[in-house]
Parts: sequence; C-alpha cells; structure tokens
Amino acid sequence: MSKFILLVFLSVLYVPTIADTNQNKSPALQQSKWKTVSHGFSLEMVQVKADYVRAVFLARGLPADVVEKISQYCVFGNIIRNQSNAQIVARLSDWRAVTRDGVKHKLKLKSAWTKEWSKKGIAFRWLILSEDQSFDAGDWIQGFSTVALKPGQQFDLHYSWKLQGKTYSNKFKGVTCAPASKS
Amino acid sequence: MRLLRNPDFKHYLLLLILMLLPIYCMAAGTAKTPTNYRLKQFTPPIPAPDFLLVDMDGEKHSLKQYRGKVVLINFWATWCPPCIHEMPSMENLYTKFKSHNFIILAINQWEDEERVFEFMGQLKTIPSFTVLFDPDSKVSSAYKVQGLPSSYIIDKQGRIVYRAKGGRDFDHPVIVEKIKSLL
Repeated sequence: MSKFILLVFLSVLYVPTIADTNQNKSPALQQSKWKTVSHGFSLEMVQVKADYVRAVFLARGLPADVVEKISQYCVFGNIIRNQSNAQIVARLSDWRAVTRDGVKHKLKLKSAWTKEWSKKGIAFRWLILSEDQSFDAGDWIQGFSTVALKPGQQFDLHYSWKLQGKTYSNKFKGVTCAPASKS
Repeated sequence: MRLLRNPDFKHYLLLLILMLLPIYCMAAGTAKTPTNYRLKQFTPPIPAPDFLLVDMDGEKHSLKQYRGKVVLINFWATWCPPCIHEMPSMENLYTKFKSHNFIILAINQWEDEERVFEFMGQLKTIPSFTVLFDPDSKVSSAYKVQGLPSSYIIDKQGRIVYRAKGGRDFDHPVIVEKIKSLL
C-alpha cells in the first residue's frame, strides 16, 4: 500500500520536471520559435530576420557598420524565465550551437559585442543577453542571442542551468537560423 | 481506505493517473506561472548607489534627496515591451501610496527627452511619477542591471530591500503589502 501511495506521489512530483519542448511559428512574425520548460527553467527562442535586426539597432542610433555586422549573424530573440521557487543560474557562455558537422559554436553575447562597440566609442549595452545570468524566483529576461552561422543553417542548441546546486542540461534539436531576407 | 486495499481499484486508479499524466504534463509546460508579483528580498538590505539625473523638465534629482521615503526605481526604455506593459501597474501603485512618502523614479535608458515625451503622449494613461534620463546607462551599470525592465525598492534608509528582474504587476496585492510594510 505504501508503495502505491509513493508511486502516486512521485508521479505528481515528476510532472513539473518533465521537459516540454515544442516548435511552432510565431503568428506575429511568421518566424519559427522553440519553447521548453524543464526543472523550473523556461527558455523560448524566436528566429529574428536580418532586416528586423537592422531596424532594431538602427533605431537605437547605432552606426550603420555596427548594425550591418550584427545583422550578418544568426540572431534569436530569447525569453528566459525562472519558474521555480529557488535561484537559477545560467552561464550562457557555456551554451553551444552544434551544427550538423559536429562543430560546436559559442554564442556571441553582450560582453563580446559591447567590447567591440566600446572601441568605437559606443556605450550602448542593451538588447543582447549577458553571458552570466542569475534569476531569483519570479525573475525573467528577454533579449537577443547571436551565433556566427548563416541564414537557414540548422543546429542543436545544447544549454544548461543550475538550480539548487544541481546542473541540468537540455537541447533544442533542429533550431534553424532565420532565412535570408528577401531583397 | 478499504477501497484502496482493493487491488482492482488500485489498478483502475493507476490507469487513470497514467492516462491523465500526459494532459497534466502539457498543462504544466504551457501554463503561465503566476509569479509576476515575486520579488527578491535582500536580507540584510544593501546600500543603494546614489545618483544625480535630470527629469523631463531638466530638474535634477538625486536618490539621497528622497531619504525618508520609500522609492521604487524602475529601469526602462520605450522600445522594451514589458517595460510598457508594467507601467499602468506602477501608476496604480503610485496613486495608492504617493501621499504616504512613496515615490517612483522611472529611469529611462539610452533615449532622449524628445523621444520619451513623444512616447508618453501615445500612452492611454500618462504616468504621473517622475521620469529620469540615464543616457549613458551609468546609473543602471551602478545597479548592475542586466536587462530591462529591472526594478529596485529602496527603504526609507536608502537601502535596496527588493529587486525584480523582468516585468511585474506592481499593483498585485503581494507587492502592495510589501510597500505598505516599508512605509
């Protein structure tokens, strides 16, 4: 009897830890998006086309050459949420985009971009996600991540996070960079 | 309890749980977690960095001048959708407590007065709290802000008591109670 109660209890406990990954199209942007929730960590990624990247950064007053460079990258809009009751730490610098040929690509994030921009005297430091993130209960963030891949290129995103001292990892399979903008 | 001892009943119950589990899993994965009122509490509170910024009318404001009041500092930008989304709830909170030594300093990032003024004119409810300008993001850097919006609640002694990364419903009863307890 106690085994039975334990089984019922465990089955209910197990629910929030199951990764629910899905892919669909963002109705507003008609771009593919991926979402998963696992062990209190929610990650959503939406393809961002080069035209949109250009528009967003130009509107912030960044010089054309700087905007052109970032628009050549494979860019995603991300929303990361802590849905647990404890602090979550995510080192995005450890995340890798693994392409079909097995090559692991690092994401290019805030400090890498701002380092380049500061050399040109640009102090802008928004829109791009930071390498190190900590989220207390209820915290969330949205921002861009970039990786040096071509339009339409496919990869698996291997990502990890730490919750209550334990490291969890997961992967988004078949994530695809936004297609090239029609000229 | 007698029913639970019946092996047939146990099997039916187990079958029912197994049938319902996938539905529950899907719901757990997609449901919005109602954590938009949760704040990280600093115990003990930490000193809030002082600053000197100008408002829409060019008047200077320092944090120090508000010692003896509870201050909600909100870092935001017009191009940040969750920043805009949380503004009406900030206005509600401000309306509730403005006559009780509570103020809001909404510190805009990387934008000029003209742009913010134009933006304010498009809002359904024009915020009546103070908007300040941090054009080079020096103040947000001092507060180690990683993304927008981010908010800090400062007690009457000028110390950071709570922090929120990402948008919140500031007129949620839980947050209202927290502010009330500081006043």
